[in-house]
Amino acid sequence: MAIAKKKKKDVIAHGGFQIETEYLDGEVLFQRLADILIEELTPVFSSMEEDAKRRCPVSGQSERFGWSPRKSGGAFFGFKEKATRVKARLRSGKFKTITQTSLNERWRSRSSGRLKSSISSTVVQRNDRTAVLGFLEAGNAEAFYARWVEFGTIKMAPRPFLRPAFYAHYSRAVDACNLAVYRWSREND
Amino acid sequence: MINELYTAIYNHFLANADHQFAKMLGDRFYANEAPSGSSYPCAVYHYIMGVDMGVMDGDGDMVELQINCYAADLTEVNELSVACKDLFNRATIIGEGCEFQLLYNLMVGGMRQDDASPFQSSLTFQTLV
Repeated sequence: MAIAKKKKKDVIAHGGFQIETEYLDGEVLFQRLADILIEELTPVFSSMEEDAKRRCPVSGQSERFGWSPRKSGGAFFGFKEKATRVKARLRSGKFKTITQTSLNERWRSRSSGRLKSSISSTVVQRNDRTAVLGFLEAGNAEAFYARWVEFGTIKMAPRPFLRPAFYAHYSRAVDACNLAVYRWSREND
Repeated sequence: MINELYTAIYNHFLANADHQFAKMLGDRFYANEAPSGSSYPCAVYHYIMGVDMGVMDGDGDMVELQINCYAADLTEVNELSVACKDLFNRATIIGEGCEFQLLYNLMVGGMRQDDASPFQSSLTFQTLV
């Protein structure tokens, strides 16, 4: 039986990633022990989640809205432009009514927080009942850039938020394991 | 601490100039951020964090180092990450007994932001100091 035996990160769907940890990995984990362990670990992982959300960079910059072939594969994003119908003079000299967008309305502040809200944590028993798994994950279809923020790119230095949060509470998780074993052994005395 | 670590990493890189990793990179091994317009392959090393583990008495700070490898094609980025692992895994860089251990090698399959971006592989190393 090992406490926090394996630690690994897997790339998951939509460019997100997760930190997965196995606790009390053994031949067969007694159901009651697993229950106590989940009970003890859940608040620790909730703290990790809160910490990761606190550390998560949230952009306050504005973004241009409207049609963008470069972003979103040509999808419409952001707010709708304010459109007005105006009469424009064509080269031929004729007048035609066209739709013109107001330049003043082209930039709007972005209400972001997609990455922050994608952070989640779960503590579950593994299907084969040999270990309890703790997950701390970030990224989804909207916050597809999670791993670029965490690990950096050629154009941007990493701004890790998940890993520091995980390690800041690492010793608490180990304490929770010890406490769970102690509680379980007391129940069986 | 960060400056010491960066100096130690670069010195380790220079001391192994005949290693495959150094041969592939030439002088394109950068700290923190790659200069704009840098050619490939290249690698960038980052200090990620130093955490007081405090699990047991006598445990020191855990330092995490990340090396991002970039190359124009997938085969090359895989070769580069293997060479990087060979050079830095189990290397003693910042003091006696502080052996760097590879924690994970992520996105070896290749991670790209878009078609214009290089393939990327991120290797994370840990040590207790």
